[in-house]
Amino acid sequence: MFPSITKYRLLVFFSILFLRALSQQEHTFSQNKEFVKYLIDNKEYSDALYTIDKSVNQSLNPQQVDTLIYFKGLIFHKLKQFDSSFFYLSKIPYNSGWYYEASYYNVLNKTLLGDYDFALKLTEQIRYDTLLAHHPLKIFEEASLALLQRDYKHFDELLTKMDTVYFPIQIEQNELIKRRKELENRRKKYPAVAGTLSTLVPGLGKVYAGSVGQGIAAFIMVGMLGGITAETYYRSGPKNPEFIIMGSFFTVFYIGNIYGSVFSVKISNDKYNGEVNKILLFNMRIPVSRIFNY
Amino acid sequence: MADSLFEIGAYKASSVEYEYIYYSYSDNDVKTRALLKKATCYKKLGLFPESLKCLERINVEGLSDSVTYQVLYETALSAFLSNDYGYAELQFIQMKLYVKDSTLINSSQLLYAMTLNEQQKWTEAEKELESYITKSNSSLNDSLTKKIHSLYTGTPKLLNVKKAMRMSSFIPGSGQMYLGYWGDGITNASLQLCSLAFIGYNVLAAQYFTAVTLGTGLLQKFYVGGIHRVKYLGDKKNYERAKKFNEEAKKLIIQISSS
Repeated sequence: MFPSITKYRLLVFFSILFLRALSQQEHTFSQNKEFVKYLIDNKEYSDALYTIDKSVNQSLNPQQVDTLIYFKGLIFHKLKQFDSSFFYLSKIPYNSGWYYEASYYNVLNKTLLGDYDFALKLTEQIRYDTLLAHHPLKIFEEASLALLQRDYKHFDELLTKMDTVYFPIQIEQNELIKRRKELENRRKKYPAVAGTLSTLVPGLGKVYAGSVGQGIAAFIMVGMLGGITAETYYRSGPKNPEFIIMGSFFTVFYIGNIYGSVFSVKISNDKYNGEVNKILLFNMRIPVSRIFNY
Repeated sequence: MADSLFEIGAYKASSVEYEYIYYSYSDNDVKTRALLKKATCYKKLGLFPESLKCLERINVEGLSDSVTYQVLYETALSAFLSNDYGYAELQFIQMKLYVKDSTLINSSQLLYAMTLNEQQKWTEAEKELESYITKSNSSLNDSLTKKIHSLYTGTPKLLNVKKAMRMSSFIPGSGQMYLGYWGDGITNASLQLCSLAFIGYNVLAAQYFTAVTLGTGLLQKFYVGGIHRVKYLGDKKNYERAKKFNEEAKKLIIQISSS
């Protein structure tokens, strides 16, 4: 009896030792998962990627593999490597627990890469077999993309379907509707008008485009060259080389200013659109991160 | 596991394991040691700003004297290696305030002297080195003290950039010449003289508008440009002189540390 008890004790002792040694070697999947979450929250992305890559070597079930792929895609999204993020998140299947997170982050990835058409297709493809609480997010993302493409007709269609109760999207949704009105009410500026104004008064076209400082600077520059040209004309006559040189300078600057005014309208429109798009993109991201806690 | 990875030189893997220790434990002492080791891993990988960022996460409250010293010293070292000398100096000032054991502080005096050198605070740096030598009781004390004294009597004479700029404001080109850039000075002065001649010519030709707009425009550009150039050249020369001296000082400090 006695020797068998000793044997049993020895077995338990060595098992404990073995388990302790094992736990010191490798962390379990669930430990690693929580650790990766902590690293992402603390923006330690390189450490998180390292931990994920190390975890891949363990024998994992499909759900665990999806978890690692999702985290990897999420980290690349946070690192603004949207193409890599898209590559990983596209691997998450519909039956995965990470399907919705991956789908919405992929919409953001394609949007941030500037491929609005693809992003819209991805949004439309998000499947809701049973309506989940975050279902209104789909309409919100679609509407945001419609406004990014300045497709007002599509936006107005979606406006009627928007949810007015689901709290996590309300602030950004109201902002979206406000932007739609702002874009509609904005007075359009025409390059031809700017060109004509600058022909009449140098720099006035730039003022019309919204660049008051540039307009004043152009007026002073062209006016100064015009003054010098006029002075050399009256003092030395039209055949004098000084007049020809200064006159050439004046002509180049005068025509260049007209051309610049035409362009400044385009630049001004692009700048305005860029600023609006920046706000739209920012607002698209907030509800996704709020709903999915990342 | 983290230590064994560190031992075999797998610093990236080791740094992640130290982060895991930091994440798993609530005891501040363990957390501090984990971050200190993680910072060392980053230093080994040559990632000095990351090392500094890591050390800044340490909460020094309640730590023992020696650990507090270690945290401050490592932070100063990482800041020094990241070329943030002002922040490195701040760590030494904190060390004097919070670390009670002066023998610990003594060992940091060499790095402190190097930090002061980089900030051109040569008198303070010399005092730190002399104090270190006095406390070290080495047989080479006298010869090292002499070497320190002879090095610091030859501290570079930094040029007064503001004075040079003032000189160029009154006599164009003179600031550059004071800094030793004669070609620059003569060119700038000649360009300003040409602008003046252009104004004179146009006034004589009764082309007053041209004289006022184009002539004064040119003169103003060369005048202001010349003063800006003086500042750039002065700062450049001072930087080069200080760098040359600090390199010499660094060699001597290495000699002191190995004695």
